[in-house]
Amino acid sequence: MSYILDSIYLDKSLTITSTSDKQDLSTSFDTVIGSEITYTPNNFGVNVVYEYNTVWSYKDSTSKLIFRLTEYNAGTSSWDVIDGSYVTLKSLKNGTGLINYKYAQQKWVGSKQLRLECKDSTTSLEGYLHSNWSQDKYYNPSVECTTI
Amino acid sequence: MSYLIKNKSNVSNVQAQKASSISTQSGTSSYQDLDSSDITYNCDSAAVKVVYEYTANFVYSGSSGVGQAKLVQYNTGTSAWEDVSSSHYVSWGFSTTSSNPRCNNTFKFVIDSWTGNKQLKLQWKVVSGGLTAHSSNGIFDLSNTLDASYLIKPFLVIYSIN
Repeated sequence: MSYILDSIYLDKSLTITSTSDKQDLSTSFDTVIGSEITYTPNNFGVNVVYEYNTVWSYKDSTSKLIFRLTEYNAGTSSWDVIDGSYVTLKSLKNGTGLINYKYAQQKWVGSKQLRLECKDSTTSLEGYLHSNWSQDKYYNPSVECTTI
Repeated sequence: MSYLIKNKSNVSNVQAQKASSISTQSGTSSYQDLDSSDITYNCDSAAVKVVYEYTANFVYSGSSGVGQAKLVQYNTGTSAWEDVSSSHYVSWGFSTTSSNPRCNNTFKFVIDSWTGNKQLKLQWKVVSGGLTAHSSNGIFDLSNTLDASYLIKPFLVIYSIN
């Protein structure tokens, strides 16, 4: 008798970042706290899923936050925006909520650094990250990569 | 007997549970348990982290609503439930009148592994306006008939990461 133990979720790498304050965004892209990860895919996989979890809360009564996923380019020593990775979060009503963004990419060879960047759309559409609605509790964001 | 391990996964001891029969839960200003969120879990012996993921639906019960949830664990020494930590709180919804929030949330918490059994559950309360858990606010079935009392069953997935 033999068994083939198979899984499509390989080498899940997960990092938690402790936070004790909210992240006050600006109108320029900045690194989302706790979103950076260096990951080497499993040889058996085809794709890699990047996942980031945190919470957000309003600063202005209307919030419009723009996210994008970037990768480190060792050749230019800069962070390149990954095509098709922009996400806009918009709330009209003093909102708060959970953030769970997932991106799937083709597997690469060797290690790669990935991180999310975020900004307020304008100075009148601001929001906070990692904070609850009453801004007295702060969520520890998590980032993970998994080969599938 | 032989075993061929084709691929190596570091996700193990996956457990899931889903409500078989539920009623709506009206939010109040005091914490209450979320249906089907209570589980006693024993980590994989090689676990480093444990991921707790609970999914449920929430709908406004006034004209606005903000909820807050927290992950709690049972302390067998004190025979009491306690917060896992101050960083295991999340909130959702809108607090402005006529905002009418409706959302389906997956609450994801990552916690350090432990030895033996641990009992975990998710509690929630309303911090502004009103919310009802597990309500759908109505759905249209395949014959395009409105089912205003349709409920959405919550479920929990928990697993170890080695």
